[in-house]
Formats: sequence, structure tokens, C-alpha cells
Amino acid sequence: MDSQNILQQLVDRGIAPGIDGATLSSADVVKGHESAWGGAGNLYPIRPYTLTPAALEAFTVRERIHVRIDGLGEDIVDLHGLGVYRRHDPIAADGRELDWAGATVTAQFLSLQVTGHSEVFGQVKVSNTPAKPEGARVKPSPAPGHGKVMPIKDCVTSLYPRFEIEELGTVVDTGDLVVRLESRIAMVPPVGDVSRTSRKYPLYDSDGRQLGELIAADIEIGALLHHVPIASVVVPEALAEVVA
Amino acid sequence: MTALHPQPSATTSPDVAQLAGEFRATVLPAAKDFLKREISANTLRDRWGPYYYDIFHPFDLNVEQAWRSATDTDGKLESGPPAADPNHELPLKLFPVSIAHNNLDRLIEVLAGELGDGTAEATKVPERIVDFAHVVDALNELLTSLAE
Repeated sequence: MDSQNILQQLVDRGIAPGIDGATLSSADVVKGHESAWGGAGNLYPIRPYTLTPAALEAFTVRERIHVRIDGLGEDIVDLHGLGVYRRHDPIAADGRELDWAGATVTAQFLSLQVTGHSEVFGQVKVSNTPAKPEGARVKPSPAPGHGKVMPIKDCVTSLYPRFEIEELGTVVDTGDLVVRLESRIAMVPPVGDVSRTSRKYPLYDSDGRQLGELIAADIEIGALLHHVPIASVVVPEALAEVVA
Repeated sequence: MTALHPQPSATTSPDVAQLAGEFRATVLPAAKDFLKREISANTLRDRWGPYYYDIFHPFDLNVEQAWRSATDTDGKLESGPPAADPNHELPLKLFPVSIAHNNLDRLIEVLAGELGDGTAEATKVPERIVDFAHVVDALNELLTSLAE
């Protein structure tokens, strides 16, 4: 089969009401940061399957959200910006020497700021909620029924995103419900990683009224911008529970 | 289902030509059937699973071993920030294959989570169907170019 047929089938059939061939623009597609697809020089800074000590790290982030807001409508919004996290020292598995295959790595999200524009919502800004425990946990990924551990690790990111929507005139969030995004990674920091939600989340205003829902979120981790080794890390108790 | 080749040893070099052939024989037909709405997302995942775990996984282990051999690393803790090293280009040549497969596995997982025994026609997240088509197409191109 000619692989081009796969994309052509989408153009010919359409995907769903409101989605046509124009949606095939690669600019709208989430398939991993371009540097992770190879190319001369793009992979030089990457050290896969490698553990490194605690650090502060900043990286580019692209986030695509699918949101419905009562009275405004539904749209898919492409957002770009930055993320910063404090990555903790890796932890060895019980009875095992510290190595990539068995280690667990956790991190605290310090900042996530992405912005974009929507025909439906106007300017959209998504940020995290630093006052709440937000972080990521990376742990070994077992191959089901095979008794083996994959070279990759399972990554779960837990966030409380806040959505500033221009046409709504207020900020909405998911209340006390943490948003979880999952992915498989082969390096830390996870350049090229694509994490995705697997459920919808209601969106509330500051008075607790539901005004819409986050239908889906997909996040691409892009280039590592800055890396600062740190000597010590105190993991807040609430965060330890989230990333346990 | 297409017969799956025996697993390569974890100590051999990654055989990207074999992986490309299995991808074309197993994944492309399943992707085509899914996009034609002839199979459900669960069936797509059922057809992807043996390829991912029995074919790609040994390949991925070989990519890791090739990296360790080329860089003389053992998976233990290393210090210092990631350094841009041109010497890493060759051992990392196949790493995009690993990243793309692992991202595709998660995408198929969320498609199965949303649609279950339903087909792509039932999706409320059509952008992920588009992602799926693009990733399969790009991964096939990448594998083909690396296998040449």
C-alpha cells in the first residue's frame, strides 16, 4: 500500500463534521517536535537512556487544546511557549543499583506558559497553578506479559491548568481535578515527547460554575533551552503524593 | 495477522530494514483499515500490540545497546548538562524511530480509550485521527529512508 493513500483517504472522506482536508495542514498536527525526527545537528544534545543529577531545566513547549465553552463554541487551539521544571535526583528501584532501566525520576513543574489565538475564543493563554502540587513522574515501563522492561519509561504529568480566554473575559480551570497527561520517554529531559490526555475535564470559573470542558490536550516537548545543576532538592509533601 | 519474524538478539545491530518491512506489512494495513473505518480502535490496538512488543521492542533494545556501545555508557548516573556532540549523530541516527514509535503507541492508546470498539467515525477528537495519519505516514517515510 502506498502510504500517501493514508493521508489521501483523510482528504477524500473527511474525518468528522467540521473537519475537512484543510485540517491536514502539518502545522496543526501533533506528532512530536521536528528535532526528534532527525536532521543534521538536531540530535547532538540528546543523551538517551541516561540518568543525570537534579537540575533546573527550561524547554520550549507546544500545546494543542480542544475546548468547548458555553455560549462561545468549540475550537482546537494551537499554543506555544515555555516550561520550567525542577528535576529531582533519580531514585533506584528496590534492591537494584541506580541505572536507567530501573530508576524512577520525578520533577516539580515550576512554570508553564503557552499562548495562542482562536477564531472562536480570541487570545488564549494557558498557565499552570504554582500553588498546587504539579509535577511529573517517570518510571520503568513493563512490557505486558513479557516479563521485560522496555528501554523507555512511562511518564505521567500532573497539572492544574488555567485558561485565560479573551472572548470569555475570565479565567477557567479544572477546579480540584488534576489533569493527567501520559507519554513514553527514552530520555530526560524528554525532547520530542508527546503526552496526551485520555479523558475530558470540566472547566469552572472562580465561583465554581461549570462554563465548559477541556475535551483533549496534547503537549509536545521541544528544545532544551537551559540546564542548571542543583545541589539539593526538597520535595514538598503534597507533590510527593502526586508523583508517588 | 501478518506473521511476525523471530525476535532479533539484543546484542545485534538494529535492523532497520527488517523493521521497515514489518511496519509496511503490519502497521500500514491496520492504519488503512482504521482510517477507512473498517476496524475499531480496539482492533487497531490489537494489531499494533504484537508489532510494538515483539518486533519494535527488540529493535529498541538494540538501539539502546548501540548507543551504549558507541558512547561507552552503562545507564548509570552521569554528571553535567547534555552536551551538543557531533560524535553522537551516528549512534543517534535511529533514535527518532524509537521516539516516533513510542509516541505512536501512546496515540493508539488514547484512540482506543476514546473509541473502544467504535471506529474513527465516532471520534469527538478528530484532530487525533489526523495526528495518527500524519505520524504513520512520517514514520513510514523515516523507516524507508533509513533502510535504503
